[in-house]
Amino acid sequence: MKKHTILIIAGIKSSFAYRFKIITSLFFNAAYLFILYYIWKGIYGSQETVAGLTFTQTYNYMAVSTILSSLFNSRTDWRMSIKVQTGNILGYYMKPLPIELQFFYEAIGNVMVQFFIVLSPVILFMAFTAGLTDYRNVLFFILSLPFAFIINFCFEYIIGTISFYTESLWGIIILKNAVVSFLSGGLIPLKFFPESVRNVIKWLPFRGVIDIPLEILFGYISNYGFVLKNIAIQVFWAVILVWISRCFYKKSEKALIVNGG
Amino acid sequence: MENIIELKNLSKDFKILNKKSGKFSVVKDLFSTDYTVERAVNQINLNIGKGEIVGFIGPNGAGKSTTIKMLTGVLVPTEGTVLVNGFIPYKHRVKYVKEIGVVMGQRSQLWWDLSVEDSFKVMKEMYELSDAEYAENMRIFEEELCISELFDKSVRHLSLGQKMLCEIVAVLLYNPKVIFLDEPTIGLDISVKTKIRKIIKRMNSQQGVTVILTTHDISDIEALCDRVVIIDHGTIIFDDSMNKMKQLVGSERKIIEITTKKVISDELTEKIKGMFTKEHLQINPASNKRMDIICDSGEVDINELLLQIMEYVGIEDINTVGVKIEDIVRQVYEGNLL
Amino acid sequence: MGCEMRKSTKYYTKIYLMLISKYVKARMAYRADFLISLIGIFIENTIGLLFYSVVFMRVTYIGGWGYNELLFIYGFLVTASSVFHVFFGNMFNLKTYIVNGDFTKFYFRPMNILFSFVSEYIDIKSIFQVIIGIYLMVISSNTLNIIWDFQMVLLLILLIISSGIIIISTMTICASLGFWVRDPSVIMDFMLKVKDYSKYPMTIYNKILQLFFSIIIPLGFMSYYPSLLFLKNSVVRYMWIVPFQLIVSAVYFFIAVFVFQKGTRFYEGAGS
Repeated sequence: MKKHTILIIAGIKSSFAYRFKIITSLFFNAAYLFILYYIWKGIYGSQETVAGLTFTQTYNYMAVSTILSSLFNSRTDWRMSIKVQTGNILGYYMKPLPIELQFFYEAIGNVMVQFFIVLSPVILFMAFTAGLTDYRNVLFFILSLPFAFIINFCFEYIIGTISFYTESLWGIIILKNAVVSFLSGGLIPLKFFPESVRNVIKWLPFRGVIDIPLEILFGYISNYGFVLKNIAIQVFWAVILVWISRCFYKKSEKALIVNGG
Repeated sequence: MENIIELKNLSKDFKILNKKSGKFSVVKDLFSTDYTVERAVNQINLNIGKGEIVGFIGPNGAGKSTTIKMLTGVLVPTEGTVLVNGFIPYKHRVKYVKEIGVVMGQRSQLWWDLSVEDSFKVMKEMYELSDAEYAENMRIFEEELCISELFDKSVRHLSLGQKMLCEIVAVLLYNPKVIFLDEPTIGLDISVKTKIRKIIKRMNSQQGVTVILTTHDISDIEALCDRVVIIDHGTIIFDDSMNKMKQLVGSERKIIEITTKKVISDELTEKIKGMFTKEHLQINPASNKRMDIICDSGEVDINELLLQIMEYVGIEDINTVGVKIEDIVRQVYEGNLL
Repeated sequence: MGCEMRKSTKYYTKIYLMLISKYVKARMAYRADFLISLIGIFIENTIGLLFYSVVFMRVTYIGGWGYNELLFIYGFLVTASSVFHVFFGNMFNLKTYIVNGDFTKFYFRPMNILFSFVSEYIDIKSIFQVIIGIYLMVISSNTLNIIWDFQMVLLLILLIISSGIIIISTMTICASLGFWVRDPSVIMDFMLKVKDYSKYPMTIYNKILQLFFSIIIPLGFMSYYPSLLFLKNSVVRYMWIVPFQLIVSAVYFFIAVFVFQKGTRFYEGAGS
């Protein structure tokens, strides 16, 4: 257990080393939210509701969605690809911890710092302005975050293992980012999609990253069943994706050894 | 002999930011004007004649890279002047760099994605060589190295040795007057090292190319350099011929590592110290059965030394090592040898 | 200080063309990667379009502009972006060169350092974006019944290039911060997002922001303003935008080159 905590702390510390990065990302996130306001105002125009949502509802959704997207973006896929290209990946084999976990802890350290610095003020702000009055919303929301993170991490990790085969991951990463952000609620609230499409998206794991946590945050909390069902869906996907990541990794590991260091 | 390189009172200062601690230190740092000035190179005076091969040595952080960077136009001096072949390096960089070649060990200046031959062709265009000049030089390198064997390989797939050979060819392609080699043989096997040394010697003897070699590898220095310049703490502490340095250091200087059967007593240590006049005696703290003796074997009766040790504590294992450059430099700096 | 003997344009063109042909040759060897990258670009742009499709199922206008007009603006942006990616794609790697000390090698080449750096990596695959962008502009202008004549096409090309230069300049300024700050990738990501947001019409912002996004961060000139000339089918009426566009691109390019040069002076080379 100790070595795990040490790694997480190391991950946190190394992201503190990039204090400049954190402070500037705070500033830039604020800028994105600012522009986002105008974009959605432009979309709403003079309409009261679109897809059954008011402007405030949509904006709140997109604001937290934008922040979650940047929060979860640990670029693990890039890091793995670079480490494979430079050969530094071998260093990970030397450590007495499975590789997935090593990358996972690096990613977490990064996220935890950002979580406190970026997300909390936004939630607090919304609590006062957007009428987020029930603390239970926030509580369950926070509960759903780790699973959302794990799901997203698995996507990145699976893509990262592909780098063991091919030289350049650029195209695949671009593809994955576009697809995930589109289908998870990162680009547009899922309620905007037509009914038929929504029924398909319901069955995909992508919702678990952004849409589910947001539904919990903004939903009617008195319906516990709803909340638990959604978190269960997240857990379900998290477990499956971790299993798939492991499979991908085992297959790719062979390719890595064949190519040599 | 005409001087091709002249350094007069050359100095370089760096401003090191005094980093703050505590909250918002990052923001404070951004706007801080609290710097310490560190003088990396201090009033260096140096003249190098045309056709010399000079070795630049010194411990890491001594200021030799900084000096080389001022010589090659990367850095602008804080004080003093630098003149290479009549040029002020940083002033007329574009014109100046055609006169020099720079090879940095383990780094490549060639185009990663291109084939070796394509890289050379681009160099030809970049340095505006005529077809005849290019063909002639290629012919020589083909003779010397069979360089055409590497033509089709892409630069990123070359081994380190092949890469360094290509680097040197690329740099000699445009017939520079001075070449700067920064750790060119680091990590290379002896056969490649030999090839590289041959090429350098040839360029020097046939075309009068002046060579500045920065290295930690003493065998390179011994093989190539007429003159050695030692830099430490930003100043030149030794500037003389290779022979003079050998004399000072003592060509017979070595380190004898002795592992003993029994624990070494203080009595024995004192006795051995008394046998020599100017050496360092170190006992490896990891085990009290290990003794490292740095000495001039000409000065000392090795027989007597070993007999004494054998008699007292017995000898388990013995190993002799040549003296490292850092040790030589340290010796020179401590004034032990000058 | 640091005055460099000017080399002729002919010299630089010759070298650049030579490098392009050699890169294409080299890239052909990595066919699988190339194809995958093309697919990635295609999907990324498709998703961008799907965003509009989904939104326009619910609304008729964004900021007063309809679907086809926004499609045109998007196509314009994609084409202009590719100008940046193809020729200045190496900017994304600048911070790596600086941290590794590999940047030093550009000082030893007998030519302009910025040119040296930029020609080191020419991103051939992003040419695919040009095709996508042109396709979008063609189908949207068909639906909008925009009539193209030879002069209009020339004007379009001029504006795309000028827009590309603005994107190049803003990205170069951000990347050049890497000379002073260890990792400017946050700022570069910001700039990329800004470029992405430039597909939205300026009409969504209030007057003050419009001014800000015209002059301080030239968002509007990346695709909206130049597109105006063609969307309303009256080039003459909006002709006044052209000189502004050209001035903004020239000014920003000048700033970018200046910042980059300042950076190269500040750079001290890594290691001892």
